[in-house]
Amino acid sequence: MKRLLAMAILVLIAFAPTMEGVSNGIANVDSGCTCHGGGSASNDVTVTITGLPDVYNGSESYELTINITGGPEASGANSGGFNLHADGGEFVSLDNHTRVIDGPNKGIEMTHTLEGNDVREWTVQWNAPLDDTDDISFKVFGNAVDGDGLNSAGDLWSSQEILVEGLNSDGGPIIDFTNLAWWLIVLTILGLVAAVVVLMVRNPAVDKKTVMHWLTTTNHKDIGMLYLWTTLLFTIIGLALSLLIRIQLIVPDNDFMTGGLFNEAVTMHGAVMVLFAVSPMSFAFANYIVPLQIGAKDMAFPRLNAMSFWMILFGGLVAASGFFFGGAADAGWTFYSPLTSIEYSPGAGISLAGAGLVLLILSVTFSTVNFLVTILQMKTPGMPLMKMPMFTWNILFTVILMLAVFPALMAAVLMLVGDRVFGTMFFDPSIDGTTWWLHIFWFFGHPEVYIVLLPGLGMAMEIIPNTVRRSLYGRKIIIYSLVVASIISVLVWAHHMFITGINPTFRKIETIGTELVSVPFGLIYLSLLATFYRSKPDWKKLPLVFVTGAIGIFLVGGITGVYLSSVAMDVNLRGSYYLVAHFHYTLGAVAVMTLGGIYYWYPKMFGRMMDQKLGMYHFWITFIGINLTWIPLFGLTDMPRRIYFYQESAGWEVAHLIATIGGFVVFAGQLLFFYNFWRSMKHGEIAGPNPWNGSTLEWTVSSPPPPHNFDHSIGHPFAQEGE
Amino acid sequence: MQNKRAFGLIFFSIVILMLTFGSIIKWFQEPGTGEHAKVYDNLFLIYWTLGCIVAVTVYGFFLWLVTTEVEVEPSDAPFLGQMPIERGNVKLSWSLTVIITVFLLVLSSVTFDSIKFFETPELEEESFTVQVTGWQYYWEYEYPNGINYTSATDEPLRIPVDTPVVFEVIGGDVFHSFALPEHRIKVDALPSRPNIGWILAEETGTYPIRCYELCGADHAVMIGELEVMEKSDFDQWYSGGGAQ
Repeated sequence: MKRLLAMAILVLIAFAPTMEGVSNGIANVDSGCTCHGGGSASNDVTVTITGLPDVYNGSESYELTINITGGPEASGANSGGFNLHADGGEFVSLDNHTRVIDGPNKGIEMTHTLEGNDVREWTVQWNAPLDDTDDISFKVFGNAVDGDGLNSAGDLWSSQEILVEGLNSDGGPIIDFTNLAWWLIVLTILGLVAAVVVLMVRNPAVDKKTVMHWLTTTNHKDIGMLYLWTTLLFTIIGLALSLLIRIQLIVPDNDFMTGGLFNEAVTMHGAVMVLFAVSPMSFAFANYIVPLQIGAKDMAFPRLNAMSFWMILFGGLVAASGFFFGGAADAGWTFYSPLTSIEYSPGAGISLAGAGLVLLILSVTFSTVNFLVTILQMKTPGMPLMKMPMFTWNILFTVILMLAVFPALMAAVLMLVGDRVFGTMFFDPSIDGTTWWLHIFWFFGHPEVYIVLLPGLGMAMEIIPNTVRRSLYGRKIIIYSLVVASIISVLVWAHHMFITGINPTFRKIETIGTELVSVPFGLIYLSLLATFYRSKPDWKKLPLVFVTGAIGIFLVGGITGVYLSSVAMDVNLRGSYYLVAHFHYTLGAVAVMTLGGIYYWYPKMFGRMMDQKLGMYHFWITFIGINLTWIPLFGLTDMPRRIYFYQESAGWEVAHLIATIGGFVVFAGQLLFFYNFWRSMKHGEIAGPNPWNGSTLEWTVSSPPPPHNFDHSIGHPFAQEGE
Repeated sequence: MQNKRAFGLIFFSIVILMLTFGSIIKWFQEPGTGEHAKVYDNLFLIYWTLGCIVAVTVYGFFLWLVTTEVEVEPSDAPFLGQMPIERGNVKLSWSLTVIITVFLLVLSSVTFDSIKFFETPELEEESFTVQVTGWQYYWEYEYPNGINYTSATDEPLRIPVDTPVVFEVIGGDVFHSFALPEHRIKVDALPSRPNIGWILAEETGTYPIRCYELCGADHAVMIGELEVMEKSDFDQWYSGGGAQ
C-alpha cells in the first residue's frame, strides 16, 4: 500500500508540469507578438483574417483584411499591431501601413509599419504559390495597444491560425522531414527495437532471458547493460539532433528549419547529450564494473539501483516527449530565466524537461548513495582505500561531486516548475531572479563538467597501464589531485557569469580559481603521459589507441579553456562559437575516452572481442571527424552561438561547410561502431577472462561474469569472505 | 612493424592537429577596431602564443616519451590480482605544481590591467550615456536628451568618433547580451539590473550589433547597427533631436 502511494506521488510529480499553466489565457501559442514587450496574452482580444478562401487556386491573388477587436480602447495613435506568417506564397504590401519582413522568411511574413501602428485594421495582398498541391497555414498575431506608447502591461495580444487547402491538395506530405518529432519517433522506435533485439536475442551474455527478467532485474550487470543501451539510444538521438543543426547552418540564410524548431533542436541536443547520455553512460560502466573491481557480489542496494535506472529512462523520455506535445524545451539547455518563464515559453516543453530532470536528479541521488555505500563498505577484505582500482576511485569522486551539486539543480528545477505551474515568483526579474538562476544553475553546471569528465579519466587510467605494460605513474599524486580538483570545481561556478555584473573582486577570485583548476588536471595529465616512459605500448590494442587520441584532443580543449578563464578575454569570447568549440573539444575527448572504455570492457560484458580492423577505421574516422568539425569553428569568435541562420556577408560559410562535413564524418564513424558492436556479439573472437592483461579483479572472473560474480571463481587473491 | 606504423600515424596526426589548430585560429581572427580591440587583440596574441608553446611542448614531450619504448616487458608491468604499484616522484609533482601555478598567476595578473580597462570608462567632458534596452528581438536606444528609437526601424545606434561613450544595458523582457563584436565589447542585458559597458571608437563607419544570449525564436535576427560618425555630424544629428 505504501509502495503504491509512493508510486502514485512520483507519477503526479512527473506529470504535474504538463498541466496547463495558470497565468496564460490562450492555449497553443508558440510565441507572442514580437513587439511591445510589456503586453500579455488575453482572450479579450480577437484577431481575424477575412478574405481568405477555403480552397486556394495556384498563382491567384487574394486581398486579406486583418482586424482586431476587443482589448483596451483604441486611442487613435499607437492603437495596435500585427504579425502575419504563412507557409507559402508571397505577401505584398498595399499601402504604407504594412511591410514585408526581411530575413530568411522574406515574402511570407508581414508586419505593420510606424504609420500602421495607429489603426486596428490592415489590408494586405497574398499571392498564392504557383503550385497548389500544398496546404498553407496562416498564423496571425494581433496586438491591441492602449495608446500610451509605452511597453505597458495594459497591452493585450492574441493569435489565430488558419489552414487553407490547395485546389489539388493531397492532404499534405506524409513524411515531414523538418518535423523533429518525426525524426525522434523513428529513432526512438529503431533504438528500442535494436535494444530489445540485442538484449534478448543476440546477447551471448544472456541465456534466454525473458522480457520480464529485464523489467524486474536487480543484478548490477544486467542494470549496467540496460544503462548502456539507454545511454547509447540517447546518444543517437543527440547525434541526430546535432546533424539537424549542422544541416541548418551549412549555407547562409538556410530555411531548413525555423528559429523555434532550431532552438528546440539546440536545447534538446545539449540536454540529452550532457544530462541523459554522457553522464549516465558512466553509470553503465560504474554499475557493471565497480562491484567486480572491488570484489563485491552486487551493489549495496540492488533494488534501489533498479529504480535509479528506470527513473533515468523515463526521465529522458519525459524530457524528450515535449516534441509530441507542441514543442520541446527551447530555451537552451542552461534554461536561463526569464526566457523559461510561462510568459515567454508558454508551451509544455520546458515543464516537461523540468519533470524529466526531477526524475533524473532523484535517480542520480539514489545512485550516489548506492555507490558511496558500495565502494566504501563492500570492498573485499585486503583492499584498502588507497589500493582501490583507479576507475573506482574516479567513480567515487564523481558520485561525491554529484551528491554535492545535484541537489542545487533539484532546487532550481523545482522552483522553476513552481514558477511555471503554480505562479510562484522565485525567478521573477523584479527580485533579480535572473542572477539567482545563474548562480544556482552554474553551481551545479560547472561541477557537472567534471562529473562528465572523471569517469572518462578513470577509464584512461585503467587502460593506459594495462596496454602499455607499466604501472600508472604517480597513483597517489593523481588521487590527491582529484581531491583538489573536486574541491576547486565547486568554487568556480561564477566564471560562467563574468559579464553579468558580478563584483569585480569576485571576478578576479574566480579567474584565479578557474586557472588553478588546471594545476591538478595538469598533474593528472602529465602523470598519464609519464606512464608511457620506457613502456611497451601495443598500438594494436583499440582502447589504447582511443585513449591516446582522447589525450591529444583533450589538450586542445584544455588550452583553449585557459583563454576563457580571463575576464578580459571572456568579454569577447562569451557566447561565441569559440566557446562552443572549446567545450565540444573537452566533451569530445570524454566521448572518445568512453569509446575506449567500451572497447576495453566489451569482452568482459559479451565474452567476445570487438573487431580490431573495424575499430581502427572507427577511430580514424571519429578522430578526423571531430577535428574537422570543431577546429574551423574556433575561428568564429564573433559568431553568436544558437543563431539559426547567418547572412552571407558575415563570411562564416566556409567554416560551417567544413564543420558540417565533419559532423557527417563523425556520424558515419559511429554507424561503423554500432555495426561492429552488433556484429561482434555473434562473430567476435572469443575473449577469455583477461584479454588485455588487466590487473584488476573484474579480469579474474569469466567473460561474461557469472550471475553472482565470484561464486565460481577459483580462489582469487581477495575472494570475498562469508557468503 | 604494424606497431610502428600505427604509432607513427598517431604522432603525425597529433602534429597536424596542433599545426592546424595553431594557424587556423589566427587566420579567422580579423583585427578589430577601437581602443578595446587593441587591448583584447594584444591579450589574444599573448594567450595564443603561450598556448601554442605549451601545446608544442606537451605534444613534443609525449612524442619523446613514446620513443623511449622498450623491447622487454618493464618490471613493474601490472599483472592479474596484483596490488597497484606506487611510483612517481612527490618532489617533482610539487615543483610542477609550483611552476604551473606561478605561470598561471603571472598570466592572469597580466590580464588584470586589461580587466580594469574594460571595467572603468575613461570619461571625458563630452562623454555621455546611452541607455540600451534589449527587447525580443530589437534594441532600444535612449540618449540623455531624450532621443529614443529602436533598431526595429533599421536606424543605427549613432555615436561620435574618438569620444568615450557609456552604454547602460538592460533587458526589457528576457536575458539578452549586447555586443559589438568588431569593437570586442559585450555587456549582458539582464532584465533585473543594468550593466555598464563603454566604447572609444577610433574609426568612423558602420558595425554590426548582435545579441549573444539565446532570447527566443528569432534570436538570430536580433541585429542592430552601430554608426560611428564624425563629431560634427553627430552633433548636428544630436542637437537636431534625432532628425535625419
